[in-house]
Amino acid sequence: MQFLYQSSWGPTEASIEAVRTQGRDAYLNAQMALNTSGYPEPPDPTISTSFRPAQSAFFANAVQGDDQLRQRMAFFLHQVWVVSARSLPRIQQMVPYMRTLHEHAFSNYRTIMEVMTLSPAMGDYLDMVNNRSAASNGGRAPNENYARELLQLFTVGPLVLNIDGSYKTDRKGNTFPAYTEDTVMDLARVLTGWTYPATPGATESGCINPGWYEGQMKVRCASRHDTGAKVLMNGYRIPAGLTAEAELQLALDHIFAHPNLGPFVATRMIHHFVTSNPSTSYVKRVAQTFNDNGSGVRGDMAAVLRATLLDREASNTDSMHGRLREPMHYSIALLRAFGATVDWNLNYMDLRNRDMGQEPYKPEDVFSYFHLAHGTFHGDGMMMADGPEFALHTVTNSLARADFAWRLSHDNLGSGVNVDLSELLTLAESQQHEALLQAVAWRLLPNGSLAAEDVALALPALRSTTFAPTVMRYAIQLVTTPRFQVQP
Amino acid sequence: MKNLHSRRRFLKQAMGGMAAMTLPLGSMRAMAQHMGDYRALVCLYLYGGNDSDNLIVPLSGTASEHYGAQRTGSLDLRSTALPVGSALHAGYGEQVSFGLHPSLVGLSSLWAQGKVAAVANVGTLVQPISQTQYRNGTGPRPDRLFSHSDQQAQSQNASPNAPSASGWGGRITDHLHHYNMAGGFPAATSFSGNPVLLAGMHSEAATLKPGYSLALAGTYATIDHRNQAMEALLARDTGQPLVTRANQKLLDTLAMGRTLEQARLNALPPTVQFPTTNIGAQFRDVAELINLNAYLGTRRQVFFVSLGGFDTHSNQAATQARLLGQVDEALTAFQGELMAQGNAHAVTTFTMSDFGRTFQPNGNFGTDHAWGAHHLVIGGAVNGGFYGQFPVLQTDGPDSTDQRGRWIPTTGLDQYGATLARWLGVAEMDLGMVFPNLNNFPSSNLGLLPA
Repeated sequence: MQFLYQSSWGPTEASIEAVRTQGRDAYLNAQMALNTSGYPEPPDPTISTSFRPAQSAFFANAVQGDDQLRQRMAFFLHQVWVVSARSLPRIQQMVPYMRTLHEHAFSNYRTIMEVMTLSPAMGDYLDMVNNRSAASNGGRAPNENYARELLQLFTVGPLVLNIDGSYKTDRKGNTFPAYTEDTVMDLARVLTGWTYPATPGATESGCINPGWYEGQMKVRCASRHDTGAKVLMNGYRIPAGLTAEAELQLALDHIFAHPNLGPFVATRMIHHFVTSNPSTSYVKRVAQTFNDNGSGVRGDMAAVLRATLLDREASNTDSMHGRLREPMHYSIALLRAFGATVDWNLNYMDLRNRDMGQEPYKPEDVFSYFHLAHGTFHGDGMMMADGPEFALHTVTNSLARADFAWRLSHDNLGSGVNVDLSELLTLAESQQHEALLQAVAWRLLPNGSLAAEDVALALPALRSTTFAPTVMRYAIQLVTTPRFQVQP
Repeated sequence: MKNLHSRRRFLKQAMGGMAAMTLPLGSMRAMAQHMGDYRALVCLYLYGGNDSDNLIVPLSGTASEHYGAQRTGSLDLRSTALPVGSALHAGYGEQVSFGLHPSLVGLSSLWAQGKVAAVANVGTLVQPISQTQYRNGTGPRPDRLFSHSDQQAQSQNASPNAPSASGWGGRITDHLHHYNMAGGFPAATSFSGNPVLLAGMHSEAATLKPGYSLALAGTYATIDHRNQAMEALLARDTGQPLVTRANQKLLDTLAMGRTLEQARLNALPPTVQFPTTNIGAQFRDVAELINLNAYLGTRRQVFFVSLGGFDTHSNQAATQARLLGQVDEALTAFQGELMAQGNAHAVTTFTMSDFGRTFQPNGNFGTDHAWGAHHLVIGGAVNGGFYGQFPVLQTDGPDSTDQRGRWIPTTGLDQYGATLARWLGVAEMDLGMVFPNLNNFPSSNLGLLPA
């Protein structure tokens, strides 16, 4: 079950059986070959721009789709290469971006860097679109937004890393910045000259295309690109006189080659899929796979994912292993455990998750749903039993998670979502209280059973009423809320 | 307003008497101690990095000319800014009149009443640093300048060169814990996420959202067997620290809910209509907790509210005007409600942000990440006016890190925070523990609040 919590949206009887018969390695291969989850074709914007159909499809895919690993990886990539519907609220803006994440879930990281950099949604979100040279713009400086976040959040990170993800330091413990403000300003100059792709059927004119989110950004007017020489990291020079397209390739190759990428990506992968508190040697092993997949290829994300999930530490069971479930992981794993059917066309799981602090594809800002720094360092001399996800575990969100389980136990998650509680209700009707608790535990807990101490603490509540639906609801919530918050 | 004020005070006293019949003895005693001795800080965080060069706009002299040379078109606010007064600009050696951003209508009226202070060019600093030191790399400077996440964290934890899991607001409440009833409502309360500002070394903040409830859905008014079993299960230590931590949060929540439910028996509805925006609702709920302080056992509190979206890399003018408009409406309602409660002098609100923005706009009518920024402090106790030194408005001038007008702060975040902390009640000798770098600065008191 632990492996399927890491590699899917949550185990089902079918997926447990698939792993058992195929073995983990073959199961991952089979998963990577699947690409079955789609998003609705955005309607004409004059008819509707509502984003909810895409969110609804996302949840239906997650609960019912076969390509679980691809979906998980796409959602991971979304949390790194953030575009938020908070800024791009229209389905026409978001769906092409979401499809790109699925398409490139197992691509090379260098390819992902390029498709995300040229994604019109990203161009809009972080202002690379229509970013132009100072010379073509009355001396106004190019926009630094995308250049900075490309380095800081998507690839290198601000400080030089060791291969095991720790900061490189000198003898006094001082860290080394991976780049300077000058790097950011020069990279912003590299990234000038791009505009939206052409709207199909429209005649292009001038240097700026109107907002269009399918395909990749393009250069309309070479004059909008800053052709001067630039200096990037570690003294790397881009000579004067090159095109926007040529400079983009050089800059992405240069960034991709930075030794930080392996540990940067490895740390994020492990945090997202496996554990908030990995050993440095685990990070190192995954980073080495990023550097070389065994065939001399750097950035092979299928290999990196495989290294993350099949590492011996991934199946660790010590007490600090695992991660607090993000609301999306928590809610979807529960839906799968309780045999939910989710309407692909329309459901309200976006609202249920918003209540818990994670509205799908609408993170607060480019730092995603929570800041990675939260709880991952030893502050004030104290070791925090924590993890980045705890940034979302506020007072009110902790309550909302309990209330989600309560709604689920009423099969009241909004139209378009139904759970199958019939087996549990039968047990409640026949007053088999312990069997009822164990039936819930069978669906949710890694070893399939509830500890005797927990049974003893839960039973008085179950025995306090004879109304079977209430007994069943108590059983569901009393196992879920105290024992299902953390992914093992 | 005056009549309203005294009516509220009367009602509050009357209700206090009634509450005595329903509250346990300990709470009564705590309540009696609390009456009349209450103070709170409210941090209003402008996430994304507010462009403070358009928060406070120079309207006269060389400063205005220099402003107009860079801030053109929609980014030139000189004709619409709301004049509030003048200050000696040390960099130009002349008196300069200033105006507030045109959206800050309510604040400019509060300014006229002497309740608003503007502090110029505040930022994260290890110690004061000159332009030469900055450009030569000779003076210690904060790590990872210009990065949102790092500067947000450093502004909140006052630890610009080392990670810190606690924030200066949380450390303040640690030091003032004796003012607050043990086991009572948390002294540090956020209505916007889980900010490091409020993380104490010995205490956790209440992390709420506007319009919150603190009872489990399906809770019975009388004895609730489900809740009893739930709390027993949450409290059982299964030996897994992550599980324990998650469960403790919900246990704390349920206890907090009971405290609040009792206190709310004494509640009066706000007399002021708050705006329906999220930031309006955050301020409304802060005002409620302030109003209930006597029943919650809180005498010294730090609150956190925030508004995001200030990362205006393109088409800044409309976005900033809209956001500051929301801030102004919410703050104005909040100050009105505090007046009605009789708490106007007991509560000081202050702004913070990731950083300021480049004085030189970029090519998209926006601005990019910078460093020092001007901030506002609002409240009945505030000595209104201008504090600190405004920068010389030249993109490559004496106050800029580089050629785009990123201001090197001339007032340390620690000085700003220590001024607020001292007013709240942190002892002089303890300020250094709240702000570890405070001794690097010539003064820990900006003088904008009474002793």
